[in-house]
Amino acid sequence: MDESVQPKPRAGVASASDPAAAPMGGLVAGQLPEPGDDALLARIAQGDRQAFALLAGRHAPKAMKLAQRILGNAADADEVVQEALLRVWTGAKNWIPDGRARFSTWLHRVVVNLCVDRRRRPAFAGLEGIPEPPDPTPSAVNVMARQQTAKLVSQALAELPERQRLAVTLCYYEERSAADAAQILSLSVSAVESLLARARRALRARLSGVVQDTGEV
Amino acid sequence: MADREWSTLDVEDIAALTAVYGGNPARWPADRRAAAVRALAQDGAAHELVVSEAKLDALLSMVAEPEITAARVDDVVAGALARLEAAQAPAATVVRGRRLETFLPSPFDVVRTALSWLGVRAPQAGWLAGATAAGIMVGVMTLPSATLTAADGGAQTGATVETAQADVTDMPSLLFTSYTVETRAQ
Repeated sequence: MDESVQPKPRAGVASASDPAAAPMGGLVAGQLPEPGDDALLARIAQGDRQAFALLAGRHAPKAMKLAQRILGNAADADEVVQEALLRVWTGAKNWIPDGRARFSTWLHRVVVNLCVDRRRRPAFAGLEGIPEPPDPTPSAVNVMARQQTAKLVSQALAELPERQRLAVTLCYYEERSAADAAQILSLSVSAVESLLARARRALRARLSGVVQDTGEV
Repeated sequence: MADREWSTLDVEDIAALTAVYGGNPARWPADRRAAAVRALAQDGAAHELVVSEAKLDALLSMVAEPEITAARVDDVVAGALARLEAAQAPAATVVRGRRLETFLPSPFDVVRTALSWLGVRAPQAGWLAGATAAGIMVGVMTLPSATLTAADGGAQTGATVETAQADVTDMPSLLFTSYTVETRAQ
């Protein structure tokens, strides 16, 4: 493998200035401006692996977080994001930088679709599905109670119909706007809002037991 | 929610808004946020709605955020690059292998060359192909009369005449149908 295309420092991890948003990228004092997503995609279309590594490093963290939220599994999430990145390589030549579509939205759409495909496969019950043994120390009682509640919420989320769960993941956990989520899910904004409303109703019903225990909801 | 101006919101609007987006104003759509916050300050019922939805938000926020380490990101990106390398390596091998076999073109190469020739010279090739096809068709059409001539003595004379006429006017038939000579000899 060409050593010159090793992944560069992950701009996506520490992207306070979000170079992807600017056409020519962000400008940090004392450094050259980082190229924007469109510029990198144009280079990738020419077969530039260094540009690919830079773009992948920039967007992989958020994509991995999204995939892990949907799949509930780090290993599967990593595989899905890797597959999505390969599609960036093959699809870069078709990217039209018209300023309307954001690359991250496109990438997240690919990730969501791959996650949905993967969830439809027969599941293998790996070690990650086994709950961790509880911490026996008395000081951990509150932590355990909180973990228990979090587990119930996770179960309630997992029991939602697929599209409702995707809408909740994108809008609540990934903090995407309904318009963004609509683009990612290939739906209208009103359809996403409807999914969110139904999801909240279902969650409220399923977590009614937690309400009485914790005083929440 | 229907498109409209969101200068003022009533309790029903707040109920619809929070049923979708929850009780955190940061998640509310920008076009409704200011009016919704104003309504909260003025309407106790609206405020109650928001507090109720915020409790569900608090429960949802208890789900742990996936931990994405730098090492994991590096692995994913490096893995993608490695898969790119692996995907392109077999193609290079094939190219090297074909150079050794250049002296003996495979049947596929012959077909591919013929198709590309047709593609480049489509007009000329079209006329040639059309003429050839027409010749073959005429040749085939004359075949039954020749067969009939051999089998049916009663119709022999007429059929022979017909075949002879075809022979005179149709060069491809002469080229492709040797039986016409035999028919004429009969």
